[in-house]
Amino acid sequence: MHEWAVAEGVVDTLLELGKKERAKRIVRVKLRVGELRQIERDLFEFALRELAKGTIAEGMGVEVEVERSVMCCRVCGFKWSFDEVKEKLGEEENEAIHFLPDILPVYVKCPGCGSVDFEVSEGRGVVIWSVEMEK
Amino acid sequence: MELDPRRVAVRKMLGRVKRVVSVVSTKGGVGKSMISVTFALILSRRGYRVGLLDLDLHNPSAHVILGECGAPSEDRGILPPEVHGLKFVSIVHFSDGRPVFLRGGEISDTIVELLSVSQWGSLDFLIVDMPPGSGDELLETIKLLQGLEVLAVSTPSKLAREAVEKMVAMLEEMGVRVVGVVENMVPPGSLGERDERVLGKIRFDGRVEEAIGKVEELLSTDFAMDVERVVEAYLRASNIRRGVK
Ligand SMILES: Nc1ncnc2c1ncn2[C@@H]1O[C@H](COP(=O)(O)OP(=O)(O)OP(=O)(O)O)[C@@H](O)[C@H]1O
Ligand SMILES: [Mg+2]
Ligand SMILES: [Zn+2]
Repeated sequence: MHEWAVAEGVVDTLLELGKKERAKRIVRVKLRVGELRQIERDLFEFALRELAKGTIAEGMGVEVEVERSVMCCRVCGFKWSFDEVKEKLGEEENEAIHFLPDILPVYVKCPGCGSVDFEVSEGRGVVIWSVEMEK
Repeated sequence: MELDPRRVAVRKMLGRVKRVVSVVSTKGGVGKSMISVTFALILSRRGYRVGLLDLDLHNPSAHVILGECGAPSEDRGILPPEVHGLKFVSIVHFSDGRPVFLRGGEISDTIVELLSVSQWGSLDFLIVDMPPGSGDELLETIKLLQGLEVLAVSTPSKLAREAVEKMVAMLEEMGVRVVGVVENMVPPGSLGERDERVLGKIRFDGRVEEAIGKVEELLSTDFAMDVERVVEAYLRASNIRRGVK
């Protein structure tokens, strides 16, 4: 159900932007969602469309791109992605990461040296990177 | 263009929270967590709707003082569990009690993330237990939570007092509403001394340690009695009358 919370943030942000720009309609939005969020894309897109109903964003085109994750160890420099470690995580651990991607080092260590001091350089956030409006 | 929808989400999630009070100090171990939890419990017993947020990500302790942490449920985000009448959110709900090692940037990000998914609903007060110091947690909450109020905790030690006073002055310059300084761990004998500069004094009470994890026992200590006076002083100073919510 996290999808709904994220979608709500997105739609509210779009409406705020639309208001600021005095847009008549929000035509299309492009989003980048980090892989760590393990978002169900269909549900997310459905939530976006539902929440946009009755607003200037109703019927907008939605493009969601899942950004692959890149973790980089600050100690040994090793780089890896979530795919490589996901299998080893339990359901509850995945659930925690789904809600709080930054919690990752609590459950995952650098495969190179075992440190928890690594950076998630890609694949964590939710970003609205393009909005097409009709003014 | 890159917009982060989480910040708008935070505003919405906290949209029906009337007041947010952060309990801060320059120093560690002065009683911020004990005071936050007790303060929140007392407000709740008085009939207010209260949330408790533990933002000490490296060293969460509110759940230990409460004796349980509850389990959040999901509905368009996270619904905080009710623990002793408080809506409670802590990193322990996500870290499974394991140690948390995070750098500053990730600390800020975690706070944004946590607040963008926590459904507080309508609250009269949200009490925030902060880690010591004026680092990322404090700066992020000031940035994120408009209208944030701060309750600063000091001790009778010169080491605490001077630093806390400087911190308070700086916070006020930044436009943060400081509701007052409370002095904790005051030797029982010197409780009566008047001091214009503090909102209240809290005795050193040897029973406190034993009461950790036992809410009813905690609320029956002299410590809690003194915190109750701080609560009253806070409500008075903020013009919040009993029953008026
Ligand atoms: N008034 C008091 N009388 C006796 N003991 C107290 C009192 N206030 C706090 N303590 C004790 O002092 C210790 C530190 O308290 P607490 O953890 O609340 O401090 P803190 O400021 O939150 O610490 P940290 O900076 O680590 O978060 C605890 O063991 C607590 O039981
Ligand atoms: Mg503490
Ligand atoms: Zn490494």
